[in-house]
Amino acid sequence: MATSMAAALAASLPAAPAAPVPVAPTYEAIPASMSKVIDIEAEIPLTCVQLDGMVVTKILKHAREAPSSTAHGLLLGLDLDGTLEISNSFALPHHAGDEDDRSSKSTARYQASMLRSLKEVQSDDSVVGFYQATMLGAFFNQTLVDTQAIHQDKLRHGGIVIVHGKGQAFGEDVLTAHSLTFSTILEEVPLKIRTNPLLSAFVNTLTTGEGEGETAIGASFATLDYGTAGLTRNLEQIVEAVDHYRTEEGNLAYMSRQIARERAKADSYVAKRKEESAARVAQGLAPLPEEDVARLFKIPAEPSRLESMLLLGQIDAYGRSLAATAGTGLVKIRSLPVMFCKFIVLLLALAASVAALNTHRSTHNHRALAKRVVDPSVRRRADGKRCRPRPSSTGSDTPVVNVVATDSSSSSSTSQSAPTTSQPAPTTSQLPPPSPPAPTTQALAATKPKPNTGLSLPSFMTGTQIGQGTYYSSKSTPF
Amino acid sequence: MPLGPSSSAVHITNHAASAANAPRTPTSVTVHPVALFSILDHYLRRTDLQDRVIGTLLGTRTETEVEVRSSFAVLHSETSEQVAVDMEYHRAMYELHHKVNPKEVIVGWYSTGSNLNTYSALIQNFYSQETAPNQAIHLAINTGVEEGEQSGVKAYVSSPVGVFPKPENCLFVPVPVELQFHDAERSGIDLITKTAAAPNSTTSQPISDLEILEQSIVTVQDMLERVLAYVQSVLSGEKKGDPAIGRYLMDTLGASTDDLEKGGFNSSLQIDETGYSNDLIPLQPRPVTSRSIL
Repeated sequence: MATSMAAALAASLPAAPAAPVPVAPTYEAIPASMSKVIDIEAEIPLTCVQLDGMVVTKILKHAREAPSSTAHGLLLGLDLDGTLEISNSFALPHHAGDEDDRSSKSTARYQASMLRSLKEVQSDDSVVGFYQATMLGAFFNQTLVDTQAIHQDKLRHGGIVIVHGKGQAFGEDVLTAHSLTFSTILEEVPLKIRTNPLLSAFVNTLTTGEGEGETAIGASFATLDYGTAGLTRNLEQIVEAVDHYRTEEGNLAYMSRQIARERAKADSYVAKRKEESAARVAQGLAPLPEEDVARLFKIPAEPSRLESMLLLGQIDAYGRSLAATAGTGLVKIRSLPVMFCKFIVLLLALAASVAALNTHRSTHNHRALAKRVVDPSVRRRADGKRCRPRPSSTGSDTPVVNVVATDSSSSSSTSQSAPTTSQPAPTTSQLPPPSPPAPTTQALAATKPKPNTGLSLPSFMTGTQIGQGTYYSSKSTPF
Repeated sequence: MPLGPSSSAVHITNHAASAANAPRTPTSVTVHPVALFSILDHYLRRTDLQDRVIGTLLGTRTETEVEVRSSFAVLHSETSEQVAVDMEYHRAMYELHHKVNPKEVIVGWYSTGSNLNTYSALIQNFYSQETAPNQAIHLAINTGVEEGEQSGVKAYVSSPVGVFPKPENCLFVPVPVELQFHDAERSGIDLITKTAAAPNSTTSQPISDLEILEQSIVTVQDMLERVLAYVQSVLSGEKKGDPAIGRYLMDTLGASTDDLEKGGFNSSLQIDETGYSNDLIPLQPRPVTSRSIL
């Protein structure tokens, strides 16, 4: 509460902490009550990032319409008492690969003129970070780290990256905020989404409508869709990332072997020299002059591990998003049949009530209804977003998903599903129960206890264990 | 999805006149949430002297439909004698937006508040030049801040009025306006509606997929329970059945009847259950940091 009031006060101030250089007159303009929450020197560490509703929609739109798989943009806003408020954003133009120098120049020009323009209409014009849209949550890559490293020098608090997960077409968007640190590459900062009161009021009128049952934004059931396209893609990308990692690992191993060989050579040479000079000393001669070993043997520099680290991060992110998708998929399969059963119950009840309802209806209506029931072509889907089973698509997935189960995540998802499945039991008992899917449960019971015996790696990763000099332990990474 | 109260205006398109090369008058307008939210944000950031704010609408148009995809604020000043729009700013801003999104062109302009006056006609005249040969649309957003006014969005196209058309005279013809967004953006809109409904207007992120799924399932279950309660009360004679509701239910639920008769429901369930639980058990690859290097 105090923070939001402070925010309101700060908004009326003449943009005190906009620039990192402290300006004396603005400094005096800050009242005593505000001096603690406004830090000119950026000393209060960031504890939270607050994203405006408008920025959320802007990022979403940009991510969807962007020509390439990634979309970049800048975030504008200001920080107050450890909370970074992002109030606006704009997209950066997309450049096709080549002419790096020119494109970066034109981007800079674009950025400058956009900021100037926004300032004229009283928008926030201080850049606090940037956003990036990614596919399935794997956002670790070289460009991101590089860009963030540049921003870290220039911006207060080192800048913030908002990562928007794209690709889960109907899933929830994953928005996370990060700031760059040394040890873990990127540090995650808690993110909040806020809508200003005007927007809240407007959205509320849109959702409630004018009492006619018609609203601009209705309820959404898109999450109930079976949609499995994302899953195959996810698996493909995991395999790809593992492949890349394998190659990178091979390179590293090769380079380190080379280093070791060169070093051994240098060492043996040094040892030989020492022996010789010791022998000369013993014979009473002057020892051999010191030589620069480094000049004789070119020991290559230690290779950078950043790339493999980033790839590991990607694999981790893909794995996480796969776990989430599979978890929800499992819940959908378990719980949706229960809802279908309720549909049937409803249908039976309805069939019984048709007679009662018919008494109020004209014969014309009745005939139309009968026709509708008989003729499947007249059927019409009132709501296009209803969930529907797609048995055909599962058939196409089966060859790809050939993966050994891990116990921990599957049990967590089933426990999640428990409250939803247990709830409708009393209602089904009141009415003629639908044909229970008895064979299904048997099949489940037969297939479910399929534990992996000791091996905690998925089967496709076992192939990589053969490689020389690499071994996998079952410890999880500190990502 | 209509955005405001429906109007009783009749849309007569003169096909004979449009047979010539002149483009047809737009008959419907759709607005993307980004445009709408930007306008609201702009209104919040107006100065004390400004009564209303105006800006440019960007989007795409087909023959009869205009799709407003985004918007940006434009400086303007209104006094009792004159109205001025910063054309240079408008041009510069359009160029910038055009670089990022080349598909979006100027389709019209917006203003807050729902009063149309002479200045509106003048600004409309200016924007008509920008969008020529197509007609410019005007979006009037009532933010609902002033007392006694309902918030909503209205769209207009203009047509000249009088024997000798003058720029300050024009007739604003209402056009139906709807909110439109892509399915992929649905989740974001849900997020904002949920945030707007929250008591302190904030929600923390990220929300896991399972939570969202649970919410959807609970909503569907609530709906089913409501319908079931209604049907049962009709059956027991407590309530008088509404034929309209009965018909609607029949239409909705009738869609799955023949599947049930053929046993397709059961078999599809079986395929799903066994297939999925075999293959889709979540997997968690565990990359490893400790390794030996030869």
